[in-house]
Amino acid sequence: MSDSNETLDQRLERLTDATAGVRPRAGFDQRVMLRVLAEPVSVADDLWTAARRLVPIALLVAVVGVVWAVESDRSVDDALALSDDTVELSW
Amino acid sequence: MLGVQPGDEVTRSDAPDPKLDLAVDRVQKGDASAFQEIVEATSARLVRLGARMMGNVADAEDVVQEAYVKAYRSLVSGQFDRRSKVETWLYRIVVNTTLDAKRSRARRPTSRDEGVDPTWDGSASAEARVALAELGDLIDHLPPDQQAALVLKVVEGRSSAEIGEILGCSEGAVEQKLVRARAALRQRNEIP
Repeated sequence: MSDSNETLDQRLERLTDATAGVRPRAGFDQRVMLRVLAEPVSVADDLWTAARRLVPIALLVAVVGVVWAVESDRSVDDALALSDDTVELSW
Repeated sequence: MLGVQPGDEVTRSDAPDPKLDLAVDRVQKGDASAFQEIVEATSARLVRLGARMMGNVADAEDVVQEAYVKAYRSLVSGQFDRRSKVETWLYRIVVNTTLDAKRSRARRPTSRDEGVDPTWDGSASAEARVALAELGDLIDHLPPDQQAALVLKVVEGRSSAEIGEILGCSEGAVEQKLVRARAALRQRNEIP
């Protein structure tokens, strides 16, 4: 029972002690397991699991690909700039 | 002493529980039945936490059951990265699920007694039921993060460091929440 003179800490301590014995009702653990085991294994979950592993690899490949493409383009430009060949234009 | 509960299965310490870790390993490898060990080792204190935040055991059981399903999905899909202890991680899920449920309840108010199990018998249970309702009423008007911090610290006896892990904030932020919660409670309830 609450006492109008009790401090906040006293009230919290009383409520802590009074609720210390709170437990789930009988059979709770079994009900949880029934619910958990009934969880569908979804294709979406499997795809998400696989994607989480593949995405970093795909990103790395993409970055390497971009770097390679940029470098290739640069070396083509460099090659053209350094070329001694003259280009003959026919009119 | 606040926070030390009779019948606690595990001595309060910062060390991880190896049995829980092993059970998590097995669940992640596909042994769904291993999840039962996790439930059996943690359900009592998680339901007690939920009841202290929700104000009754029936609502707490609903919330904790939903939290366990979320935990199971996370384990099976590999989303639990073991950066925190299993128990801390479960507490985080329960706290977040509880706060979501309280927000939903606030949007569609119902009588608190609707969730109470009428078949619960025993005088101790009646006392606990009254105390849970009183605690729920006491903290209900506080912001969710302050509710959680206060219950975890003062009632459950968790350290500020662990509460910070559970709530996703620093120890300093936890202390701030506690100071504000106490000030708000004292002012609202006109108690020293």
